[in-house]
Amino acid sequence: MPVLRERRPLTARQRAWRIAIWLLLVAGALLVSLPFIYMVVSSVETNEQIGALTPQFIPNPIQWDNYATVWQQLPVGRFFVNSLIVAGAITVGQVITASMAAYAFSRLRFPGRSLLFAGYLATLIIPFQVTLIPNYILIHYLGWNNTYQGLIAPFISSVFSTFLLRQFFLGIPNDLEEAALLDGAGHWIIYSRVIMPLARPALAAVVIFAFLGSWNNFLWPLVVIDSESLKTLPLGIVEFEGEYTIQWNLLMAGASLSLLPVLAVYLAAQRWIVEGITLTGQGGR
Amino acid sequence: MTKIEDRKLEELAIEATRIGMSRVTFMKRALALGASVPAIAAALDAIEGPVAHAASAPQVSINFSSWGSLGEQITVNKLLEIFQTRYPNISVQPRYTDFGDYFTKLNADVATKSIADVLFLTYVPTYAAKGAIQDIRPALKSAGRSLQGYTPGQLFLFEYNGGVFGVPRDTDTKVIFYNRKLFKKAGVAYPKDGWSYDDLRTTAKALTKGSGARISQYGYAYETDFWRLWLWQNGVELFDNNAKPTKATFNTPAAAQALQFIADLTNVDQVTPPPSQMASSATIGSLFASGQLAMAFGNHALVPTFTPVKGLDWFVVGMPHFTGHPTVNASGGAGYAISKWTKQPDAAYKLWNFFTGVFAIETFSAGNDVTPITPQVLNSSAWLSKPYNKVFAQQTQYGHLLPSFASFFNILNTISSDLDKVWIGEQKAADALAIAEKDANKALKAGA
Amino acid sequence: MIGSLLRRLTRRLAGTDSSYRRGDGRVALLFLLPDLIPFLAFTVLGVFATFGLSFSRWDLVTTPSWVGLDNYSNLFSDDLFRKVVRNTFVYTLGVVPLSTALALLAALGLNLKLPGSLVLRTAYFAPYITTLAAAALVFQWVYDPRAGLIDSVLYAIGVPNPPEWLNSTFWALPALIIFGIWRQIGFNIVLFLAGLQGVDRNMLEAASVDGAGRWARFRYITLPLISPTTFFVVIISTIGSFQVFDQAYVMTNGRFYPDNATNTVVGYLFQKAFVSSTAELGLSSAVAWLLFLFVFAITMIQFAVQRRWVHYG
Repeated sequence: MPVLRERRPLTARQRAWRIAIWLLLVAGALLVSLPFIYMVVSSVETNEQIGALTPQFIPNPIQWDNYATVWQQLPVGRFFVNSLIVAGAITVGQVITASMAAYAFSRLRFPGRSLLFAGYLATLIIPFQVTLIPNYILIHYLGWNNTYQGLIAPFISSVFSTFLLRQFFLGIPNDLEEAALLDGAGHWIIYSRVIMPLARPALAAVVIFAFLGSWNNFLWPLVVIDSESLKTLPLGIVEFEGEYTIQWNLLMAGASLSLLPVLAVYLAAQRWIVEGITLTGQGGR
Repeated sequence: MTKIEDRKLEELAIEATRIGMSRVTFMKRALALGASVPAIAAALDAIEGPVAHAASAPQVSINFSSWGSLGEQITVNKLLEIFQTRYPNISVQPRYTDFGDYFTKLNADVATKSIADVLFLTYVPTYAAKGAIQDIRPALKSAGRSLQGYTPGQLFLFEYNGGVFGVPRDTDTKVIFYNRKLFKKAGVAYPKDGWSYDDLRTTAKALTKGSGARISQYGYAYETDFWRLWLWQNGVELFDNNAKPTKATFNTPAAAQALQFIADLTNVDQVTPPPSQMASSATIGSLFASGQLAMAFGNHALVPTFTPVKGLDWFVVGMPHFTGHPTVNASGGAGYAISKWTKQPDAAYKLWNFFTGVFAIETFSAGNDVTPITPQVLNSSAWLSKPYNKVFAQQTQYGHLLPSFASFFNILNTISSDLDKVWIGEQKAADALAIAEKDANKALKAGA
Repeated sequence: MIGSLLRRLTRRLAGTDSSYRRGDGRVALLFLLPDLIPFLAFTVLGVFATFGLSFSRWDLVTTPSWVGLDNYSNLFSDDLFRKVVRNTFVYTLGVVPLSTALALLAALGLNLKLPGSLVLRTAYFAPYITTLAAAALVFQWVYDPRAGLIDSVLYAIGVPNPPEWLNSTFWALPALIIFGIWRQIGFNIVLFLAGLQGVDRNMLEAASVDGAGRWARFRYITLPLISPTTFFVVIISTIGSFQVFDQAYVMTNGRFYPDNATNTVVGYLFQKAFVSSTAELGLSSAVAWLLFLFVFAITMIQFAVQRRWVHYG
């Protein structure tokens, strides 16, 4: 239970500040989400409306059937499921592998730790596009092309997630740990009972980014997947792009549909980020 | 399938037996009746007796890769179904990728030698040079099929080092789509075949409404990457040889004049959208469909997007010509090739043969996405029954040979980038062409 | 001696002190293994492969042939390569500071838990989760020099010659930068919000009781406490910005117009690997390694500098 704090009433000046900040935030949010709003609006327009010189923010008529058409023309349900399986596996995988590795990098001392971590980080700099073909050759050699494993394996661990969690873990004070160690707790206990619960905000961030990164991943699935039945959503909706024509409205509808799971994950996880304050017994941290 | 269609199929089958109808014609008419593929197969079996070698042949599985709009995908699926009934022992796994990413995936598959057994392909010499696709002449010979139906010009894009690596399916004939309603409203006469670029400019000016930021209607839109067509239309060749070029030949006053004319339409006459809004055929198409563009440069692929638009009264006219020069049009299309690494050459050939046959091409053309290349189809009464196709058929005759060699695509991109500044008005065509010529020659020398 | 120098350097750069505890090595291995195995297979292996490839010529079909330093020297004499390096550098300089600062400001505001915070937070995150193809289409409209979002407003308020964005070799890169910031902000905000949760409310209140003003509280309490997060955001943004490709590719239909003003190092690399008729994978690998060396140097500098401003728990 959070410790109750005495709340002093806000002065008029403080209130004015808060209103000003709120207005700025709202203006910023509108500006930033305008393209996103246009995407959703154009998903119920016709191609002709989208092609007009000035974009129509108020569709007339509202073509809800675009969504039905998307489902009819492509096995969207199948694409959804594939994306969910792959993104889900990758997210769970990264939470586990990255947190364990981050624990080692931040809590354990071992020879070569700094060198290894520097090496880890260094690989972040190599663009994925250039290791695409060597990785594809490896996957092909393993016989994992056109399979779920092929889609999941390269991303089950992530240097980015490890780095993120390591930074966060480093910010957690040592005292808790030392207390636990004095009580005779082993590293696994410290990791799972002490560190992980405190790391909720960072874990939530990892969940969001791992899920999102996998959900929107295009290049790797493009190369690995051959059959329609294995396609993930980004690959699927791009089928609305022909060589000379694009069905914009269906593309937008597909993109809007594709957003829903990500939004759901974000909304669920961001709670942990913002309300990640937990009692540690050490004074309100 | 309702009883009525059943009966119609029966009647068709009876007629077929009576007059000795060809299998192709029967399938076409049966499809037009709305009969399902299994029903057609059953009818065929009833007429001819089951396919001879079906039971004895072992099951094989091959892959087929292709790009295209969803409409084309539906056509491909239909054709694959029909193919399956002819060869029940061959199961085909289709791989669809959008055009923009097709070659990324293809290159990755080349690295693992796992490209599809039969592939839809363009930039054929590039892949022939890599040894990824096979010369089809031996397979054709042993199957007793000849390349006679194709003109040398059509096969040119599929030739490399003396071999032929596939045959084309369609051709990239360009036309100008125009919005008859906008013409009528402005009181401007419709463009006529054989018109000139000066006519185009006058027409476009009359059909552009508003100016500066308040433009509400554009007169014309073109694809900046088709500069090669403007050059050909003004009598300029790109290289000294279309198959084995040694130097670029496009830095001439005539070339500068042609490109500058087109660029001026945008920057001086201001009758076209800015180049970034004409970036692709897709954006031009949707602007035309919205009814705010009077004339649009495009090919047959735009037809299926325009036909369903209510209230869009459109027609087509052939390409204009530069004064003192004849009409020239574009040519070149994609076609089918067979992988050199296929483990089922026999099955692959059968599939390739089917997709490059008259029936398949007729089916694609009936889907309305493409200008077919087979003269038999191009000049068929079925295809020409649509009045706009008459224009396409006629314009195809003016098709100019597209250079075809392994590094052509690279050089094309380099030149296109060098010419970018011309369309946005930051550089004169003559200066840009000089730079482009240098880059092209450098690339040719490097054999890149 | 080099060995101990290297050890000291990496120890410093990784930012923590070390004193070895016995027995930690074995435990560490167990904790590291799940992460390490895929890393070795899919990252390290690929990285070594590209290192070798950077000294070869490979057309994807025949076996790679050794060309020594040819790829690297060809790059240095390629005008286009120089251009894309410049573009990438400018892009990073434009995106990183702005997206970091703006995101921090927004995160501070969002952290106040004003009404509607959830909706606002989601709105800021929306650009990052929008499908790139859809976002690029929308931005085609945003950047239309006549009727687009930006220029129509500028025309309306009387600006005589609004920027031509993608129709100008000068404004194309700013257009890309704005797009980049737009996409990056949400990402950074999520990270900053997570970091801000570690800032002790009591400390801030105690400070304001002691008379510290808003700015002082920010500067002396908040900023230092979130410095690990800020450091992380800056590093990741920098590395990511140097690798910009997707956005430019989709926004310009793969052409990087006008005249490669929006082409970047990874764009160049991609073209050589996948768009080129001759699939110069060796050259792309060389590009990747040059990029690596450069960004590695910058990252090391950032790590070295962090001691001066990053405070760990």
